[in-house]
Amino acid sequence: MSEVVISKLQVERKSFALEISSLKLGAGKILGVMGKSGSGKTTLLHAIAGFVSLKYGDVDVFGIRVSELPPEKRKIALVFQKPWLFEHQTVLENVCFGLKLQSLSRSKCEEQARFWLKRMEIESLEKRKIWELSGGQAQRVSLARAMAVKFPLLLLDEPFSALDSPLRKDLRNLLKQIVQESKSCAILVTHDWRDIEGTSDQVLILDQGKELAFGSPEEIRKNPNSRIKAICED
Amino acid sequence: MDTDFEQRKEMSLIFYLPICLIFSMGFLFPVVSLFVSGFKGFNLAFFSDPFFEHVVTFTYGQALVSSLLSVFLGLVVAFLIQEWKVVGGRFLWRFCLLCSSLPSIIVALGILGAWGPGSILGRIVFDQRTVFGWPGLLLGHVFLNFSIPMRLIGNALRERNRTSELTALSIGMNRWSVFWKITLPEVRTSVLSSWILTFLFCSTSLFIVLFLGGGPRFTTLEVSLYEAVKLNFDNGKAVQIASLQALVGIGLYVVYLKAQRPPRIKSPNLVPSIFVPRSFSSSMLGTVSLWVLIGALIGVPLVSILQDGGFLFSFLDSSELWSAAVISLGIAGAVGLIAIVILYPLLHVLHHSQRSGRKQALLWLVVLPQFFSSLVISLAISIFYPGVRGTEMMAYLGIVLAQTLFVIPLIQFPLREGFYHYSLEREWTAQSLGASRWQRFLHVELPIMRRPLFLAVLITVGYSLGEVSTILLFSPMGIRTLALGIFQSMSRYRFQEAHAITVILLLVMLIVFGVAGFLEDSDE
Repeated sequence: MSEVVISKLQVERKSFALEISSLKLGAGKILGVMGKSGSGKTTLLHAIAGFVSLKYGDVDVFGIRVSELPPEKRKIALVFQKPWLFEHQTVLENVCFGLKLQSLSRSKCEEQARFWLKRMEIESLEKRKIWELSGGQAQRVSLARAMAVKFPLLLLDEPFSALDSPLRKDLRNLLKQIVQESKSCAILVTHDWRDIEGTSDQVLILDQGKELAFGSPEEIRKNPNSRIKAICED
Repeated sequence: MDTDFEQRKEMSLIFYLPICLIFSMGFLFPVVSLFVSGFKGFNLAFFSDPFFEHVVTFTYGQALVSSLLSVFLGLVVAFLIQEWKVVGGRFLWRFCLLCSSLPSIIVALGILGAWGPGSILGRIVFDQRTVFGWPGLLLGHVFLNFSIPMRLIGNALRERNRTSELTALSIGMNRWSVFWKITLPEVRTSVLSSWILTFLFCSTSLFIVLFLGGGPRFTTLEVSLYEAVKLNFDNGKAVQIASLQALVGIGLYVVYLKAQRPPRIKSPNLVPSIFVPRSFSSSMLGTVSLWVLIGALIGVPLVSILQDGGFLFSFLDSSELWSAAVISLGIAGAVGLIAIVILYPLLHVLHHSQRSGRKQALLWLVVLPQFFSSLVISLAISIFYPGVRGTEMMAYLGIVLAQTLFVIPLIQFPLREGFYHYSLEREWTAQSLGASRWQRFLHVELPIMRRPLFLAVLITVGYSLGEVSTILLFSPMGIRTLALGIFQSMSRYRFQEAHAITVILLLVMLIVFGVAGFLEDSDE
């Protein structure tokens, strides 16, 4: 059964249009999105999250038509390429941010936040200020914060691009494991084919706002289209 | 389908309304009405009067000389601090900024004390002549204004791209040529902007000319305006002078806007400066020259005020003094509260608005009052609302309105800088985690903006405590603030009393601006 359904999605911006005819994603699955710069990958995530107006189309997540809801009510967590942590808070407070909004008690919030910090292997950093973190540590805090709220859909906009190779690999495995365990869904935008191979069940290739290809990583890999090959090998 | 953007557009009118109301009712309508009155009563004979011609020539002549001197000095000090890396440069930078924020009336008193006929230094330096006239005007105007070019040019020097200078050096240019052909053109926008502001402030300065000018030969338009309103009660003449000054202000405002460049994102400059002195002796020469220069220009007048602080204790039991302090702080608090309450929502909406044209136009509008002297705006308000000088309560309203209009251009800088840190992505992150508009405001925006807001309050308090023109114009007798107390004491030649009040005001302002400076430094 498909838990995330995007149908006839259209976004129009000044000199750019994004069109997705149909896209389906099952529970516990990750969709990888690739494309050259300016192909509409980030716009797609922002449109699903509700930060960009849809000209046309619907987005359903676990049976709820979220495209009619404001972003804060969609239960879709978004992680950017930069961590965008709240600098006035500690690491623990950052991870607690979303949990507190769910009206959980302080002790429950902290308990859950510590659990996610431990999964990200940064439990020792909980009292640190944000400016004391390295780039990799900050990105792991950002992922922990997004995962802690346990929303059914997680949008990731090149979250691994600033990380070194071993850490990337660890986080890819962790992401896959968490999505499968929680039976949620994730959409991962990336420029790196290794991210797709390491995480994604399906791949969408975008080119100038249009779908160029959609399928499993193996199917996309074997596609003879030279433009697809160029994007995957870039 | 509505997203948050559409909802914001509907809401934004509520945010624009307070500032539009204050600006139209308090500034645009009164100033337009001032122009209309000026044109109605236009008298060519008045403008062709030889004395008035002299006043106009002298006003802009002295402003030109003072501003050029201030820009030159500001450039030298900025260069020595940013590039020469003089010992104690950071302290001097902060000290200059802090002292130039002092009210002009305190500066006039300080210069009189340090270089006036009664001082040893004054007798040595000026011999038979006195500080009154050109020396006094230049000392006062440079004291108050050289930190504007110092700050603007210094920031431009710090944030410039130094790679091209290194490249020029590597292909055989000497450092002097690099400075003239690469560094100076790089900061020319800041030089021009700072000159415009300095020229404007020198041409509209009142108390420096009033107390250090020395006779009718040194009358400026601002002094004529003051005399017409407060001494001769000649509103017709005042309106004509104010209209002329307002026209020049608008002209300078247009040139200033044309000279502006979009703000750059600050980033640490990792390329070393090529101007750092190679020998210890050149380094020391720069350090000593700068300390002597700042010491003579700023340090000596300040010390002269503080050394008369002993008289302070004889006035401490004066209930009038304490009531003046309470009134000063009350006005400052009201101005700060109103300015922030109307400006913050506007900047919040503009920060989230994607329409850059509207954004720019509104930001230009809020800067406009800075290009008018406080006397001109106060006169415009008092003519447009004649009842404002009728009762004490109405006078308070007039004072707070006029000061709010002046404070808004000053506090928009720290608030806008604060909003640069509050990126759209950070807000989206909070929103995607489920935070509603109010939750985002309370838990993300406000903690990020806490420091800029506090800084804005301090700037407001500092400015308002030292403001005299608006109080002079709106309040004939009743409202007595600390700054007005200094003016009245000086006008009656009661310099001990003036010194005593000045010491109190000076200490309060040094604390206020010192904390503000510390906050700015720690932000950087």
